[in-house]
Amino acid sequence: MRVAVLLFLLFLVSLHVHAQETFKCHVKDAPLVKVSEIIRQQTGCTLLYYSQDGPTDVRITVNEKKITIDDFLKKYLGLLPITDYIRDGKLFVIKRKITVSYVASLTKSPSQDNTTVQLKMSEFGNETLPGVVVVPISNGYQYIPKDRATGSFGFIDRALITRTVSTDINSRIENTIPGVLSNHGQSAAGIPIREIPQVRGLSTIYANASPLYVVDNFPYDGDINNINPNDIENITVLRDAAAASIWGVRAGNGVIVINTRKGKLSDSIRTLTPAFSYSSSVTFQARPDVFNISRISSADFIDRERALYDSGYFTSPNITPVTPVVDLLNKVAAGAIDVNTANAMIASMKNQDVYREMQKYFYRGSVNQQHYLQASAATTNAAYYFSAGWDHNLSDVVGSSYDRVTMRLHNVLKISTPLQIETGITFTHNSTKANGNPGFNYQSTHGKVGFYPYAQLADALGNPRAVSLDYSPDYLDATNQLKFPDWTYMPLKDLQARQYINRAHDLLINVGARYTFTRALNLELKYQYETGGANGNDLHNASSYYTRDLINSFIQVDPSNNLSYPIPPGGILDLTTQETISHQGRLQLNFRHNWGRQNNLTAIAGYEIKSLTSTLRYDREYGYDPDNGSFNSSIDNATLYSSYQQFNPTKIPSAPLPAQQVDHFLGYYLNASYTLHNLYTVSASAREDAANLFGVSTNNKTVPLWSGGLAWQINHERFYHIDWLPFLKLRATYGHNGNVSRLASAYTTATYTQGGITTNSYNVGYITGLSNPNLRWEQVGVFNLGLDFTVGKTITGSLEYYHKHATDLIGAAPGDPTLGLIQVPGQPGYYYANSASMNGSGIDLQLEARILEGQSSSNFKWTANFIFSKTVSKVQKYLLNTTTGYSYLDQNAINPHTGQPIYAINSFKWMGLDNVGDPIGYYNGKPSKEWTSIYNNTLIDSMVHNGSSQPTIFGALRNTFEWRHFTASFNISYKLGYYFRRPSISYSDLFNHWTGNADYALRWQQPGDEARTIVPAAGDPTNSIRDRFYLNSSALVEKADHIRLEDIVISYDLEKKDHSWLPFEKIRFYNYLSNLGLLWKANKSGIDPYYINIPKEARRISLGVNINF
Amino acid sequence: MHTRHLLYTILLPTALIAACKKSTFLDAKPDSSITIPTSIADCQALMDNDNVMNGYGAGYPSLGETGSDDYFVNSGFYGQYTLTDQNAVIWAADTYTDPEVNDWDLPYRTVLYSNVALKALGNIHPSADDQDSFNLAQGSAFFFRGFAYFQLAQIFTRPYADGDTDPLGLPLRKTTDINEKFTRSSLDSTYKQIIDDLSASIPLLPNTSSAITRPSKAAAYAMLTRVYLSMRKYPTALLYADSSLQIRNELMDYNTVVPAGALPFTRSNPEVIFGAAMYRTGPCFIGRSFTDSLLLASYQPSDLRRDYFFSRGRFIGVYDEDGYAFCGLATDEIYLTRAECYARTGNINNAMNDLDSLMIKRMSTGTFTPYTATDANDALQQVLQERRKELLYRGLRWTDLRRLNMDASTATTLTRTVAGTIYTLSPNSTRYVYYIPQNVINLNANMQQNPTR
Repeated sequence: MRVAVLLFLLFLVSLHVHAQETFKCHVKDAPLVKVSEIIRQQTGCTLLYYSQDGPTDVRITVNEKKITIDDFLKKYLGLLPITDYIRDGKLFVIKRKITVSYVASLTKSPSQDNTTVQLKMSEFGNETLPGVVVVPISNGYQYIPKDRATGSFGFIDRALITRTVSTDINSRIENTIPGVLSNHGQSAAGIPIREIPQVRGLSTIYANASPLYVVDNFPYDGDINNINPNDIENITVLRDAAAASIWGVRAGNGVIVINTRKGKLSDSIRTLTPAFSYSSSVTFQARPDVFNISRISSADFIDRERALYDSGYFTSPNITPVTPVVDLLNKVAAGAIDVNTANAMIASMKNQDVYREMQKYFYRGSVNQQHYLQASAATTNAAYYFSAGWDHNLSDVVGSSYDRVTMRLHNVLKISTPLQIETGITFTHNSTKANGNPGFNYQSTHGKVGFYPYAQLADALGNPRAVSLDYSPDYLDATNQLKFPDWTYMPLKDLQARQYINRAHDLLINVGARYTFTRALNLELKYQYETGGANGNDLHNASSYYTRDLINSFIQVDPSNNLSYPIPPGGILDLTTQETISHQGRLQLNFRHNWGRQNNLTAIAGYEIKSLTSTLRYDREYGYDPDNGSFNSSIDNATLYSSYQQFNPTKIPSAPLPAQQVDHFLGYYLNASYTLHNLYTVSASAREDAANLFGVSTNNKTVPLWSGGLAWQINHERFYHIDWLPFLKLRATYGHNGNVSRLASAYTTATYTQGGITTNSYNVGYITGLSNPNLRWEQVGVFNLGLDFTVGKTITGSLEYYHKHATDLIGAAPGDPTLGLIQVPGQPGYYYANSASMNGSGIDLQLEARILEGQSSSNFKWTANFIFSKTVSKVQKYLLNTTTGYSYLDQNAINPHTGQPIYAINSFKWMGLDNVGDPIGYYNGKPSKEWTSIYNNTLIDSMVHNGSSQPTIFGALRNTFEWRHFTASFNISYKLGYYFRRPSISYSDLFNHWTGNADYALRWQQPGDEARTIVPAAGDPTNSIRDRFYLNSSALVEKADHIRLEDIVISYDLEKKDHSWLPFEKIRFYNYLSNLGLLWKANKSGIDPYYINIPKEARRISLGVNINF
Repeated sequence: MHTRHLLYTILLPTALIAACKKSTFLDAKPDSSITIPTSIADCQALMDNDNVMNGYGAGYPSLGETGSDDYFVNSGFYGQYTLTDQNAVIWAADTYTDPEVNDWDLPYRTVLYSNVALKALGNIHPSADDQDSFNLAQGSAFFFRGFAYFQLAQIFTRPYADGDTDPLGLPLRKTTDINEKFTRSSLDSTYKQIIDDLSASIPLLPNTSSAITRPSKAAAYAMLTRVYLSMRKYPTALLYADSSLQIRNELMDYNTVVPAGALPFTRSNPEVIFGAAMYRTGPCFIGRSFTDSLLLASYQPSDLRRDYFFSRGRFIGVYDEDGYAFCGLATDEIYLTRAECYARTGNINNAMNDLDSLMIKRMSTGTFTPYTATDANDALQQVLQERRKELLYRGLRWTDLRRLNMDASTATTLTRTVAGTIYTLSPNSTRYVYYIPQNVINLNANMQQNPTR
């Protein structure tokens, strides 16, 4: 909404260029728009300017009989926010006065498009610069002219945001802004994840590391994926303290300010005839490649299985599940089956590959559709913007889909000259569906992880087959005899036996009013109400394996073999209800005044308040009948039951307890900047926050978070005469941002469960945290040094260096044992307090080169954008350092160690294989095979510190080519300076979990092999420590560095002005290709670090069309 | 509408928001899943945490038992002990090899839980309907705190003597604040705190409890008698033993005991007044030590305890079904304590009667002969002998040794042979007092360490 007010572009293009050098103008306190029109009519010269306050605000008195543009600008420029002018189809950047510092492509916005201002971008855009617009950057509280900014702002505009195709916003930010890292990896469960953008590395250990998302004016409390990228006008990332400290305690991880598209008042009277645009895209992606998972061949697995069988490893059958081969061998041994028959069956199993079947039955090509319609209209007193979007994604996992509907309506009304009101409503609804598809990483609750390599999911006719997974055939036989319900698992039959659907909605209502007292002073009141919720409905039908397994494992058998069912037959329904309600209010006084020509003071002061309540409730119904909604409410959740013939007393699982979180925030803030002679800018901000997390005693002694900054626009100096460097600006800032951790509380806290160690069924309380009245905000001090420059007419860019020092971080601190903090006997008791600190520094570089500048629309244009970031952050102080090295093996776990990045790879020193194929490590100063001692006793200081498991250097290069109506661009990204641990064969997991690895084929098999392989000889399957040493040794750590071709966009525009037969103003066709794969990788194992041991996603192809009516 | 009116309409709610009371707004409870203990039920749940309050799965100090003479070890068992336990077995000067000392850490956790409950309950004004549950929670908190401090005192302070002005008592935790710093109270204050806590619990607790994990009046009396006995205040100990036995006096007849499983007794057998367990380490790991040979030889063949208490020379007679070393309160202990107090106060008949009441339940049917004593000292010696034979592996022997050593006539020099080396512990040695963990000394500027061992 503010964009309407604050970002105003005036384009007056003379269709009959009749340039005259001079013009006359006699107006008194007239809007600039009027003066511009006078100038345009007389000279054909178009002024470009920005305004923070809309067209009415900029008023001037001009009394000139005959004046040239140049003289006019010299005389009046100090009063006017004019940035450039267009004359004879060329755009002139006004040098050394007010200089353009951000360059972005112009797009035609229908709301700006009115009858008197017929703007055609291409008329000048392609001839000179693609269009130069000074976009004031937004920090969520105010708009700041870029040339007066001292802080570090990363900015992307609509053109760049809509360059790519995706459902979510985070992926649109990726590879566009220096300092913002969107790392890719996989979760512990093997699900590919794109991490939440990290702004300039981590600044916290245990607190939420997500940047603060601000949508328009307020922090967004819903799921950020609710926001339709098509609704976004631009995105600003606040990277340093001067930019972000206005957000106080929530700015420690950087702030991503998202400005949506809004209704904008027009400067000319016009009817409310709407302008429409429509866009639509469909994205196809082939099914993912599960063969990317390293796996042992069925033949190898079976051979190893037989060898172990012969050595007596698979002892007398018990409850442990066995593979069909072992079952057959058992039957042969028992004389139940003939050897030759068994051998023939085993031979055929060697040709089976469960991955082939998983690929076929669990995955499919995905199709994502996106449709978006928007309408807007504006008059001088009222404007609206309406949009509706629909996303329909059929995921590559069979049975999964995602649907989203978004609707927005934004109005701006000028009630009277001083009073303007804005309202906005945004509604999102989405639904996520899934079925019983176990995917490639099926995890049994009973021990085995995944299917054995030759599991057969379907027979030759495609009929579902049962797989042995959780219980031995003998056990199933025994329970079958007792008339237990069917206990077999047929993965393919099970697909339809589960229906999961999660429906979420989010409603955002904004009201804002601004009352203008004088030109310099106005008061704003803003209020936002947000209510979001989600209802998860997870039905495991009576026929599903999940349900049958749970029911059967609780069946009790009495001495006369009668069965009783503690869990009643029927389906199992899990319900999740999540609800979020937030109120945010803000009262803000804005002041801005110009003195003389080039001095300006901008200041804001405000007060804001927020209340956020989120609740989560769970419910579980047993014996659920989907036909009539009935269920069994008499479940005994207290008694311990053992499964038949097993001794594992457990209680019937019940729904988790409900949870509620309440966040209350109060804040006061002040932000001011003064610009002297358009040369020097000084900025300062201070903010004080209070929250209910800390209790009143801490809040009463809060320390304000503050920042200060300086900017020097060197090229405005009189002495400055470097022509090839027409623009040069130096910035320096320092300040503090904050962060909040929920780990610690000012209150004594406890959790409760039912039943303790003894058989009592009392509620049992555990104290989880002690009252700590000294708790404080985490603080991140940031120093930033920036240089903005333009080299000739070709290159613009900025280079920034920053240093961060995060103190008072919430970390585990060893407590005096007398405090009673001990949780686990023998382990130090600890508590969370402001005890840790981190250091970080880095460089961000952004360059834009207009390598070829077409002189007319038919000429070839080539623009390159390059971004580079380097970021290093290390734990500087952490009190609860563990010395044992094995505590630091999980690179995905937060395990802070002084001097290391938070996510780091540490490994055991690798000394190769010996002449019997055993892995050799290093212990007590010499090579050793005492794997247990090595694993348990190697100190962290004696480990190999491989380095960060997150990229430390990253960026992208984007080339854009334009020719006539064609545009093509491609983006190349790079991520460097980090490591990953590649998986390999674990001989203990091979039969304990049935997870194998192709490295099995490379194993040491005979003396001499140690020279060619690092894979140990097949070992004792019970010796897991040997495997754990090998798997965590430095031999398997690889460099993750890689360069990747991210995407290619090709588009073609048709416009009515060229093709009068077109029924609309403009139509754009585009083709977007993404996930195009690696161009280079550092590792020699052929592993794409995005897909280390998970199915590799295929290339995506999007076809789309945008139409403007 | 006038613009001015509209402006006021906008400003009014803002003024209201701004005026809403800041402290109330900022005092809202941030998270329901981490409940701040405030209600009686919350506090009772803390008290019902049998892991923390009764030591099941965690445990009360075991260093006393490890230092006592109930057991001996061969090199096999010794090798299985932790280094700290190995040091305690041989009464080494420095005991701890690990910065964390469970014997200190775990009871202080019990103290914390009690303090949290007491603080929360202090803010509650119960209705008439809630009075009973309020009393149970508050009485339990007092009881557990007294119980835990007593366990600590047996390990980390010297035995109590009348008129002792020893300044090296326990640090007494008063708050729940994480920033609290500690100094040691005097020994006198420590015992006063223990007695005050236990006494405070008496009017609040019900006579008997619904579960052995919950304290009762019987348990509070029984605990007070244990405390006064350790302080050698025999007349007072007698009174409390008597009070306890008036509520709970049942003894199991071992002739009718049907072993429940591998271990003969159940956790809630009729003698248990209050259940608690020591940390399962060293000899308190049941089955990982041999019972002292002389002690084992002292049981008559017709003594059923020989069969129920021991298996292949190892003690299995814990009043617990999961093999935790029992350090709670049971009626047999109270009978023996009362018998001792009778003997020490010259009431030979009553002393012998109490001994008879107990021993008739321990001997096989038909083999029991009533006890007689020639004089008070003879009575005392007999009671002490039976006490030794009845109350094994209950953490009581250490306390008994400490107090009995203060009287030359009942003092004992302990010896133990480990790997061919003979170790001795002379009566009243400073090694009867373990060091306070170095961690605690380091973190508290004014914390004084115990005398050099």
